[in-house]
Amino acid sequence: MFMPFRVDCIASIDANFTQKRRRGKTTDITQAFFEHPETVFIPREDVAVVEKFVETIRPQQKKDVKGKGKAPAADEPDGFEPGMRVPSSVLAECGESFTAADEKRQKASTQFFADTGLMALLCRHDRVLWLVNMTSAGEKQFYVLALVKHFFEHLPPSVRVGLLYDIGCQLHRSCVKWGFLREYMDRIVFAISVFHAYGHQWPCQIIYHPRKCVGFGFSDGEGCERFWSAIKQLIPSLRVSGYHYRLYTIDTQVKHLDQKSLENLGSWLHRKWVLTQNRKNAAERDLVELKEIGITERLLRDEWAAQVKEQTRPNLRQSKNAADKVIGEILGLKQSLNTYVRQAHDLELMLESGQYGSYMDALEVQLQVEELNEKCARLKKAMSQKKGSLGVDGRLNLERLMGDNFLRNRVNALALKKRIRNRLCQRKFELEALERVYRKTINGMLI
Amino acid sequence: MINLNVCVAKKLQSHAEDQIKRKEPGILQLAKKYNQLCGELKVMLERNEGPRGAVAPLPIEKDGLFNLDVDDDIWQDIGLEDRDPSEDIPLWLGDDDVRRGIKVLLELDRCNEEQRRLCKEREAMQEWMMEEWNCLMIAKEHTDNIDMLYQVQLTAEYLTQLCVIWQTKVRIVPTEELPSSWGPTLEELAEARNFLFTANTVSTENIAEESENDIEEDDEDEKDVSDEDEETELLEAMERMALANEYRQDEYIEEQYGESSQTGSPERAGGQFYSA
Repeated sequence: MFMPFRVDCIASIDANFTQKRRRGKTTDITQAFFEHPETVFIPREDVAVVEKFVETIRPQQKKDVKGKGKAPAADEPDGFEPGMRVPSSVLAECGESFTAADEKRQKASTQFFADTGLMALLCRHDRVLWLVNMTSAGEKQFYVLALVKHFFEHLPPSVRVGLLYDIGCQLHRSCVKWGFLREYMDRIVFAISVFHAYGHQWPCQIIYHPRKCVGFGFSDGEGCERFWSAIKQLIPSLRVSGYHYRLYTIDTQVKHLDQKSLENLGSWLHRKWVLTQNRKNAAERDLVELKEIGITERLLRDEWAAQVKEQTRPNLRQSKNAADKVIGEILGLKQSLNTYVRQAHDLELMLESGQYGSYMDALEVQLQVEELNEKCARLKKAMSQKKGSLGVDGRLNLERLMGDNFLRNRVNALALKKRIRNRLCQRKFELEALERVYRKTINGMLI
Repeated sequence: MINLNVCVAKKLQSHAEDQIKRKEPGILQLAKKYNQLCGELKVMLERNEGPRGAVAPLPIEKDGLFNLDVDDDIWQDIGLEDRDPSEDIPLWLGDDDVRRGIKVLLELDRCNEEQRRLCKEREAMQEWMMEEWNCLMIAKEHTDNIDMLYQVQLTAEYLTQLCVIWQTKVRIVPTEELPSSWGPTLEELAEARNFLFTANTVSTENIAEESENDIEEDDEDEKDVSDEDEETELLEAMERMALANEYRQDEYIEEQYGESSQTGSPERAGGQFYSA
């Protein structure tokens, strides 16, 4: 049976901020020009053109404006942006988690460094296709766009590409929203690199994770890591080199790696083949087992489709999330209200009986009761305000929760689980630098 | 070099683990609290205190919590989401076997995709080789220039070697439509194999091992030689060997090798040393 591939080739993109070059006293781009005859760098001018294009279409927003701009978005009804399969709210959350991680990461300062890093486009056999020299403090989208554009200019007009990128979902969104890469969009399938998938929301993973997304096989976008590791010995010397010299050296190294990789392609195929066969056998065995207890492939496919549909449904999230938050607050208020009422009641009992605790007299107790009553009134007002902000569903929901221990516990458990997930993600981002180094070394040994 | 890598890797791994542990208590405490809540919910369900159709949420497992793999339960809020009690719980949410099955099925899909891609890549590999070889042979026929012919011969040698390396490795990947020949004739391939094999036997590692063994023997035989002298001599001999070895790996010098042994072949260097 012949089935066409969903994508003809698979490429991955990654940025690296360790390959920097210090700012010299003179602007050393003007130094004597020389270039590797088979350079893999996209010319500066081409990158500048893309940058300018992006700037005109999407003027750069100032940071504080952006922050304000995002807040009201939370109140807007959630939905799909045209062409996207993941709800806007999810995409926004993914974007935020990565920008946060990005800001925390120590970025190359443009004050001290003239070149701040490299961005690479690699094929699925870990060979470098093109590189871009980065000069900005962070990972800017136009570098990616320049790479992809350049790539497509070298491809026959019918070739479809699977593109793995840390924040593939964000790239997809920008392309759809702003019309970047318009002439190639119908030939690109976006996905996220496996290594960074944990930073994405679950609905985003369902759509963009290469293990879940049709067509990617076992490509995972890890090749970039291996490449960074292979050129890491150049970091110290290139940091103080001239502009052209740095690019030339990297080009030479890439040439060498290409040559080495050519010889190893045979063993690469061999290794992948054995791995795939093993995994396939295991999977087939499991499926046969399941079939024996009545779970057929058809059923599983339908269930998966249902799961994707359900878990990427927009209304399931946004508006409900906001309501849930308010309900949580009301429940909290209710609890403290109960405490205050109980305290006030105790104090009133004291007044009635005339038996005061130590260091207390009637006046003091009266004052305290008044204070508590005031607090209670404030809480009640806040609660009714919050209740007012809830929709009909929210109010019904609240009533159910008020009277039901089980539901309340469940809401708490869910909140807790979300918090654990967030903490884990943050932790992983923090550890990323470390883990990268470690995995690089391991990967280097395996090859 | 490899040992060093292992060392560094170990060190980094332990460091990474330490780092994780430092923040782990906080996260683990949250996980514990969560599991406690799950336990309470389960008890309530057993006492029929929950709403109709509710299922108990899954507790978090502490092992592998930090993997955050796409297939981990941490992403799924089973039993935590509010559901319409009139609807049945869908199988992908409530049935463990179905949930496992979906993962396995997707894995199988990826396996099949990967397999097809690998087959294609293997074919592309052979086609590339055949084409390169073909072009080279045509170029050979069309020229009498001795310099050009030499270049053709060099490229041919490189290609046949590459072909030998590749063929042995990718034999495992099946292919249907391509001929068994990759371009170079069997004789040419045999020659390349021979060359590769011969070159492999004189890799630096082997020589280093041999000399190490020999040194031990020497130690036993000649205890009267002072250590310092022996060390200098040993270093010199090894240096000569390494130098000779570099020459030897160069394919073009190999043929003249026997004649130029006076400039310091391993045998000679070794001979000098061992006879001392």
